[in-house]
Amino acid sequence: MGLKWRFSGGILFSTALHVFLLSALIYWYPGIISKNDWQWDEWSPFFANETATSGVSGLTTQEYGSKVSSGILIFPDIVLSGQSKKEPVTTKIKNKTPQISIRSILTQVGKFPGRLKKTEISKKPLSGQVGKILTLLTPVTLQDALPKKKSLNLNAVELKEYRQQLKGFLSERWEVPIHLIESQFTAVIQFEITKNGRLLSWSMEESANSALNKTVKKLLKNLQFLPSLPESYPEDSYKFGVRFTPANFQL
Amino acid sequence: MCVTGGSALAIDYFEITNPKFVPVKVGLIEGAGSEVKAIQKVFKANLEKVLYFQIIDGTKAEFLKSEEVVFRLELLLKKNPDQLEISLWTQGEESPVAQKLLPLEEADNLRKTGLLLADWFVGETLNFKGVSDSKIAYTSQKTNRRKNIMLSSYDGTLQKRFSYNLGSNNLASWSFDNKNILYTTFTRSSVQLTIQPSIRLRAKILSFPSGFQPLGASWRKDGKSILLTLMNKGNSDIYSYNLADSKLEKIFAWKSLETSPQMSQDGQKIAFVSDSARPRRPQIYVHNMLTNKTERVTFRGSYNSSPKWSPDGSQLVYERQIKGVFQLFKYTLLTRRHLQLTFGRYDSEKPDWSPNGKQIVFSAKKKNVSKLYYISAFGGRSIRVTTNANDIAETNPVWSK
Repeated sequence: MGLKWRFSGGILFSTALHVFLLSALIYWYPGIISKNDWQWDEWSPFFANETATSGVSGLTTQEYGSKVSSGILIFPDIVLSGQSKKEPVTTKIKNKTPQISIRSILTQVGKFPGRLKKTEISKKPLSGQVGKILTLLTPVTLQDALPKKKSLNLNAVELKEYRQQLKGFLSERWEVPIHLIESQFTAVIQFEITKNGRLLSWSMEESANSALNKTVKKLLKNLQFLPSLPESYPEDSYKFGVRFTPANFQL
Repeated sequence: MCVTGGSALAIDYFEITNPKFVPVKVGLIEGAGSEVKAIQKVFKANLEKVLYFQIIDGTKAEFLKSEEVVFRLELLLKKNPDQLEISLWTQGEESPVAQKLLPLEEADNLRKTGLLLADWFVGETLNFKGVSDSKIAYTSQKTNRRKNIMLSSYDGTLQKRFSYNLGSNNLASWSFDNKNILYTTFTRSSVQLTIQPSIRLRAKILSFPSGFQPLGASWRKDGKSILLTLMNKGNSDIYSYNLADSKLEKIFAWKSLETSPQMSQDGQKIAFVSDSARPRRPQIYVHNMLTNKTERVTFRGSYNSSPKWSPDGSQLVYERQIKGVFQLFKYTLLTRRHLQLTFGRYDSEKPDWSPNGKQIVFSAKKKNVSKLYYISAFGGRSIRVTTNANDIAETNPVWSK
């Protein structure tokens, strides 16, 4: 009897230990961060909302003992960015029973005569009434898929990447005399480039400031290529506009 | 950068707003007469230090043809009374955009006229105040000699020894009204603080009790008290010292080392350096005297020091050690962004702002000896301040307010 109780107790203890270990593993496993893991919170002594008053007359005196405090930390050098968790998009697929009739097949075939290629699929005679009807049809296969709908603009991700490339490329080459800094004049240019970035044509809408116009023309004079377009861009050429405004300082 | 687009006919639009700024080419029409030439020489020397201009000498006809020259300046001497007529043209304009008549003083004061002209030109073309009448105090040391405080004109052409004592002098600081300069004097037996009027040589010495050793000081906004670092028993703390009643009060007395206190122009903030976070790894902190809160502002790099406030109190310039080399950085309080200004493979140290906040003076060891340089507050190329010989080390520059 004693042995039985001891055995049961051992099993219970072992189960409890395993549950505890599993819980600990889930809680402290790297990547699952609790507030306590954010050590900066406790580390910095300089963001205390309350500061100890000095015994000596003066502004503030922060004693060493009161340095460990919690508060809002600001990291000027570090920009923490994150995306909020989105609910996974679930698409429900309904089981639809296909409703195909001979009439609908004939209608579809009639719609795309140009894309159909007549081929003999089988010479084996079909039996029954349905078979007789089907022999009236000419078996066909599609020559190619439907043409994709082409977009004249880049999609959002590609546009963001291309914008960064173009910004860096043009900012480095556009030289503006320093007295035009922070001026609100804007010159607008419409570019047309090939997929590999070669400049096909441009047209300029001049600003009211002739000095600014000259700087943009000087830039264009030496410009033959712009950053090439993403591989996925479907067209051969791309038309876009650039507004040149010397607002921010960069030496 | 903003983008529009989306519909079938619309096209994407990109905005470029940060071009590479280049110096403005200024055509200086050759003047007639020795007085005009002397003024032009002073004007050129000062304008080159601004870093935003490239001066080209030539004739009016040459500049009219040139497409590069943005501004052209003509100086004409008029007699009875002796006056200097200044005309400023911009490219493509037939009539001058600005004109000024300056009374022509005696030959000794031609330099003054040149400085006035330089400041007027900067104001007309760039819309900010010129600093050609400002001064720079710095520590000068000839090889194997004592250190001395020197005063330099903005263009570096005039140099004057400022400290005349038997000690080694260093770490100067201008009062906010530019009337006094405070510096530290090291003698064989002690370290003292010295306050000296900027136009006289007679100095007042501040001594401290034994055991307390001053390690540099700077002025408070009121001009009646100073902020100083005192070392006692191996720990340095920041104190405020009232010059009238010699009262010393603790400001930052942590158990770590606190040094280099600097008060902002509005008198509301104090920037200082402390290794409180980690020993021997100094970082910069800002104490707001209104809210009584202290905030750490540098987190990157293991050595950030020498903070100096911009004249408007919105920015700090400081030095940071990167891969064993000191580089200058600018910190903007509003955006909490740090911008690296220098990138050389040599130490760039001890920066300070110009009175208009557009330039920074610092010392750099481009060769074996430290020399003073100017750099734009936005970075870019740097230019030497003085033309001193190679055996003179120039360090710790401070610009008048």
